[in-house]
Formats: sequence, C-alpha cells, structure tokens
Amino acid sequence: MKEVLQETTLLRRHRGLLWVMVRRELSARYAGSAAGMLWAFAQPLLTVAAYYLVFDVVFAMRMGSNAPTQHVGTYLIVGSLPWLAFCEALSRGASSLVDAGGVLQKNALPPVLFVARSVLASWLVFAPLMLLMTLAYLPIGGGGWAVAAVPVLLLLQGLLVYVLAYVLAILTAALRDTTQVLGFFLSIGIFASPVLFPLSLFPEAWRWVLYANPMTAFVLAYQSVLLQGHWPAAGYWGVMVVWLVVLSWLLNGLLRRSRDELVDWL
Amino acid sequence: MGKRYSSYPSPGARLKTLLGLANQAQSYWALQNVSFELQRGQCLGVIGDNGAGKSTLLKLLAGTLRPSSGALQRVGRLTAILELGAGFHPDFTGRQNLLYGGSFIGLSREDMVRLSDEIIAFSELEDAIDRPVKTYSSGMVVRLAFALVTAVQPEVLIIDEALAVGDQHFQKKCVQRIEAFRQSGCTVLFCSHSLYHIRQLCDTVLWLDHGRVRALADTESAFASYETHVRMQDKRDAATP
Repeated sequence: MKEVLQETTLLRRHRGLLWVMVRRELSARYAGSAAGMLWAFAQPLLTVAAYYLVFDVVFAMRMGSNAPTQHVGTYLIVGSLPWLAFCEALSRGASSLVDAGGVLQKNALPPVLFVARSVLASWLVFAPLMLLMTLAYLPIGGGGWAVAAVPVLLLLQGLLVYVLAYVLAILTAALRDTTQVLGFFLSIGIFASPVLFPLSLFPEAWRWVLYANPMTAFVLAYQSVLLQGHWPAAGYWGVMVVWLVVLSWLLNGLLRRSRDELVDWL
Repeated sequence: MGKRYSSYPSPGARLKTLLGLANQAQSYWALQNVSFELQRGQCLGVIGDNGAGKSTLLKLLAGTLRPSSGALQRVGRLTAILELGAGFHPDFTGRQNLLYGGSFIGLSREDMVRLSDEIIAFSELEDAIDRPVKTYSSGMVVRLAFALVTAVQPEVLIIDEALAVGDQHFQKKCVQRIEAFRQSGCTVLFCSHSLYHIRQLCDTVLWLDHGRVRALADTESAFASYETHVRMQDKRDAATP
C-alpha cells in the first residue's frame, strides 16, 4: 500500500490548498445562480421530500410484513439519500482528473488533490443532510445509542467513495468510455441494492449479488440504525472493510502503473 | 535527463497496459540526454523548432512531468509560467480569481491580502478587477495572471512563450520585471520563438533539435548556429518542388 500511503501524505501536506479548492468547487458549481450553494442542499432535500409526500402522505403505501418499516416513503428515504451521495460523489470524482487536465499540465500539483476535492465537496453537502435525516428518524428508530454508528458510517462511506472514485478517475484518464459505463452501472445499481426493496424481497439464492454493489452493506447498516434502532450487524462492517481493502489494493496497483504517465493522458 | 512518451494504438490498448493485461505501448523519446547546470542570476534561453522538446523540458523542470531517465535538482522557490490564466474561473471576478490562483502557487490568504493591491496595480486592471473574468479580453487575463505569478520573487523562474501575448507596453513591463528578478539573483529559464526577447534577457542559450541538445553556449554563438540551421532548412525547402 506504499502508493496509497504516499497519496495520503500528499493530501495532508496540501490540506490548506485542498480546503481552498473544496470551497471554490462548491461555489463554482452554482456560480451565476441566485440561490447559489443552497441548490446543493435543496436538490437532495426536495427529492426525499417528494418521496415522503408521494408514498407516505398521498398514497399512504405500506410495505410487506418482513420489511424494517411499514411506510414506503420512510423506507425509501433511508436508502436513497446515501445512494444519491454515492452517485454524485462518484460521478464527479471519476471525471475529476480529466476535467482538471489543463490545470495539471500547467501547474506542478499532485493529481490526488483534484479527486479528493470533488469527493470532499460532495461529502460536505451530503454528510450534514444525512445527519439531519438521522435527527428526523430519532422517533422511528427509538433514539438509542445505535445512532452513534451514523458518523462512523458517514466517514467510512466517504473513504470508500474516495478510493473508488480515484480508481475510476485513473481508468477514465486511460479510457474515456469509463464515465459512460459508470453512468450505466449507477442507473442499474439502485436495483442491485436494498434501496428500493427490502432484502427479504430478493430471492435468497441471489442475495449475494447485492454485495457486488459496494453500497449494499452501507444501506443495510443505515436501515438497521435509523428504522430499527439496532447497531449494524458485524457482517455489514465486515463487507465494508473487505470492499475498502480490495479497492485500496487495486488503487495502489493503478497508481504504481500510471505514476509516470497519468498527466500525459489527461 | 530524458523524457519518453508512450503512444498506444487505441485507448483500449492503453487500458490493457494499465491493467497489466498486455503492453502495446510504443514509446518515443521527446527529450534525451539533456544535461546542464545553472547558477543564481543566470538566464537560459531555450530555442528550437516546433516539436524539438522545449515545452517538455520546461514542464520537467517545472515538475508537471516526471523524467523517464535522469534526475533534476532545484533549489528554492519555483514559479513556472507555462500558460497564463489556465485556472481562472470565468464567472468569478478578477479579485476572487486572484485569491484562488494565489493558493495554487503557495500564497496564503494573508499573503494575498497583502499583495493584492500591488498585483492589481501592476496588471493595470483597477477598473475591471471586480468584474467577472469572462468579460475580460484575453490580454487582460494574461496581465492579471502574470502580475499574480510574479508577485513574489522566486529563486527559479520558468517561462514558456508567455510573453507572446499582451500588448507591447505590457510585454515591456514583463521583461523589465524578469530582468529585475535576474539582477537580484533569480535563475530564469525562458523559452520563446522571439529571438529578440531571448537576446534581451538571456546570457546562455540551449538549442534543442529533435529532443537532443544541438548547442549550449553563449547567446550569440548559439544563435549563429541556429540561424545557419534555419537558413539550410529554408534552402532545402526551396530546392524540393
């Protein structure tokens, strides 16, 4: 993991610059609009508000007997907010290096800063929203000590997205088609996760397929904390750690192979 | 020092090489066996035809590319002007872009607060500084960017063709500033097709040809051999129908 550790050292050394870049990224995304950065928070908030209104207020739909909650909207929100965060950070992170090509070729800056900037900017928008969701779900989950798992999950999810986004950003630098393939996987990925349907609805023989989606364990963990008030099962943590280790190992190999040429490819 | 670029028959081949499945890379040397040493206060001009490896050399020295062979050693703060205004955001004002651009070259917010009046005065953009950069002409962007990157005197200054833009008056100001840096001990590397500017600034000239050093000598003798080469080339072109 030498290469990955080197990148971490670089991030630490340039943390001041990274922070400036993150702030600038957030304001640049909405530059020229009247509401500015408020849009970053408004978009996901409006989406989850629509779920609640449509499924729980207007249609008052109910889930099956094995579901962790009876209200469809309440169930959907817990999975879809982390999923939205995952998709947004990943698609921005994957194209971050190619987008920064011009700057990287003219300034001696470590490429890792641009991946970290995109992922961190998304995380800073979604992490407060997910904490807000945790507060709103306190009456449902019972407000026990299991809630303490949420910040840990948020940090782990941020770390996983950063590593995966960096892997994809290097692959995108080598082959631009990566972003198209990623778009496809993100749009079908939601069906290969317990975001829309509870795990009990998936045929038992096929449940393992869901774990090929790195977000499955996270979504299950958020659901058990927020809907049932349970500390996430050890198995979920195990899957998260396995994903993190495998992706870090992959990233390390890609960094080693692309080190000398990465900027030439942008 | 040398730099080898790899080229791939297709983007797919590049991915396969990256994943270690196959290696279809064909490599060529953009720069080979270039070696020199510069002292404080020296100014080296880099000349050569298009594709001779001038920009590659400056990018290696600036640290945006890594050498494929050899190594380089620099001492002190480095400022590289490879392209002016590359990181500016069109929707932000000149002043906002200054703050952001400053952080890219290692200037803190406090530094920028201290330096911004001087930068704005040098760029002569007092009236336009609070307007979005997208309303600027290309010359104005270059003026702002040059004023920013040269706000703090570096120990090593690398300039790639940056003076080709901007009007005569501003070009003169830039040359004066570079000259002042040099007088106070800054080492300058300067790449240009303008032999006039090189003659004005540099005491040593490096002539690159197809990635190799053809001459490394005092300005006048290097120019003499380069000009002979250009004349020969013109003659050859005239001879071929």
